[in-house]
Amino acid sequence: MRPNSPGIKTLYKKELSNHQLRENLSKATLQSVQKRNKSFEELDFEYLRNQARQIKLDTLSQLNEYLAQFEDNATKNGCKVFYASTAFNANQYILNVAKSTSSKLIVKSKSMVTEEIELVDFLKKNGIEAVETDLGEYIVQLAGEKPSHITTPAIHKSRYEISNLFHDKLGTENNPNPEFLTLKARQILREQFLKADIGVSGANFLIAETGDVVVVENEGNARLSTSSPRVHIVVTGIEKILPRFSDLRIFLRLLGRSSTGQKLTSYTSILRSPRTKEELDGPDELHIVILDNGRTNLLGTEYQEILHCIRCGACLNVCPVYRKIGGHAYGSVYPGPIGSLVTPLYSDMEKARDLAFASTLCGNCTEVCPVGINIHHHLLTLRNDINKRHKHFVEKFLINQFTMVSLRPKLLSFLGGTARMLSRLQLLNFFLKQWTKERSVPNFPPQSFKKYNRE
Amino acid sequence: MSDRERIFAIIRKRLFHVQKIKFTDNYQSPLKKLVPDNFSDLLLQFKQELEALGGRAIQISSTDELRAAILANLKENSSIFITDQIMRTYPELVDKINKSKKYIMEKDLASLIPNSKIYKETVNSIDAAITGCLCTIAETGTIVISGNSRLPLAMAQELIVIIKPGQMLKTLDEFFTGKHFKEHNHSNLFMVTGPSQTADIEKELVKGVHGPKDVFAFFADK
Repeated sequence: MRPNSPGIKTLYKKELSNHQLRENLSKATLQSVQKRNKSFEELDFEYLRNQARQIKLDTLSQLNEYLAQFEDNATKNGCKVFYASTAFNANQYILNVAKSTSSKLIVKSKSMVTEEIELVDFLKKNGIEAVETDLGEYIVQLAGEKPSHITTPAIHKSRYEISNLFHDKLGTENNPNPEFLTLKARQILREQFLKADIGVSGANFLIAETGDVVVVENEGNARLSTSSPRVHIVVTGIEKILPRFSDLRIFLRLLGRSSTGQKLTSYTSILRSPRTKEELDGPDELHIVILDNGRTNLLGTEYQEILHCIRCGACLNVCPVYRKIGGHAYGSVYPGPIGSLVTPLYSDMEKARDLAFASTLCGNCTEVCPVGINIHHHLLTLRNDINKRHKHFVEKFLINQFTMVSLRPKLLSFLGGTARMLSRLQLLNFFLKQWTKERSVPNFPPQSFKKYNRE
Repeated sequence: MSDRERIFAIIRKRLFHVQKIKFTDNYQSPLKKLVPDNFSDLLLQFKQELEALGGRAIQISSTDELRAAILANLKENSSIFITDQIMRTYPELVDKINKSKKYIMEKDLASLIPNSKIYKETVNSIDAAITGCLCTIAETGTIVISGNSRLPLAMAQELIVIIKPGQMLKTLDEFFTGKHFKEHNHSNLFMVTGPSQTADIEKELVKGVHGPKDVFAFFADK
């Protein structure tokens, strides 16, 4: 949860009244779902997802061993591995690297973990500029906003809004053509790539048996961020470990299709070491920051499988709630069904207790999850956990009263008759005016079920 | 206690009662269609996959044909980067490409200081990069590249890859289970599956965001 976020109950009303947002979301998510479904036609999805699930179960049950193996191999390859318990420690390490290398400019490719630790803001406060280079991230950074989707950060913005934004902030002509806007961003960001001292990226997978860092993308900005600056810093979570190189045949097939409907994303970089003596470019230093920040809270609990998540965003695209309110309404870095679990469970259950209720529990999310996370079941469990912590006295009182009335047939009959009479006199809306602000009262039948049954 | 020790201690404590699960690798191909065995069918599949993404795959039988195909796809006064590996394999290629083109050889870049400003500015002026590859994957139309210069291939508008016979793999399974790829000694492997692209603005596909807008795969007969 972002600090001082008003929470979903306040934010969703604003987003619901934004018709442009709903139109953008509806168009974009529908297209993503269609592409995803088509791309899985030629594969046995259930088989692949089961394989992925088994690999994740294996990985998490022996996480210490695999992390140590990765660290050992990455260190042998010449990388520097740093573990960070908290967001602050991760940010501080990155700042120290920047200071020790006298760096002033950082180019950053898209990474949810760096959003989670609010790296850009932290660096800015410490006098270091960090520029987002993924087109969607660049747009939201220019707008002073946060991403609203895991894989399509500017999904909430129309071409006209982006054109106006570029015109205001970059002085470009007001042209809403996506190709024009994209090429403008390419020109501007190319300069940043050439000047940057440090490149920061996330990692989609860390391979324990080889020490490889795997980064997937479509634009080429991650490739440039990890190749052009003299220092490359990878920031990722402890759950991104995979035991074997061969596991990629399963996860890469699932990730591309689930996120963008592609058989494989345009670029997959398998990074093993800093620049070798023979190479003309590439980073002289490769740092890998492995973050906990609440992830270990889930280990050994019924929620452990949430750590299987590969951040494909498929559950967002099929969620009827997300499709109406968008990512910003969640008030947290990770939106959508998976975000409603990750945010409370990683960080603060108190701050994010509304999120578990931002779901219809339709199960679409579980159906499309490529690693077999039973998302809607966990949301239900989380609701129970939250309810156990927070006694709702009014609700409890009303349920007790209802139980008492239900056990007394004469009283139930009397109250039923009274409600029917008030309904006939149009007085129910007056007595329930708070409740009927956003709801309509059903019409009461002219007689009770008991009487109807007797006739 | 360092962060590392703290994280490992928490994991040990949390997983103390959790039974270790060992993954049994009884993997079978998830592909519903049969993968072809012969080169011409694999080439056809590769071509279909790459061209569906906006790239081009062309079979060539001589250096003359290669030269003609490259020239047909290059603009006037283009600046062309050629890797040492390609120069060794096709030494006559440069002479046969139009003299009006400007060449930046990998060996010339090697004389500049790695990662220096002049190196990056030179690389940024490259319009097309010609390179070889480690292998290609027919299932997805992917080209796997490793080499000594990352930036020219990631910055050029056109990426031209010349593929030798015997470099075609059938599936991702073959690549990710092949021992020589797992135990490679390169600093990195770069898997290219089509042009650089984005759909970040209203899901409309735009090519050439940060990397090459055009990807050409030339399959050499010999």
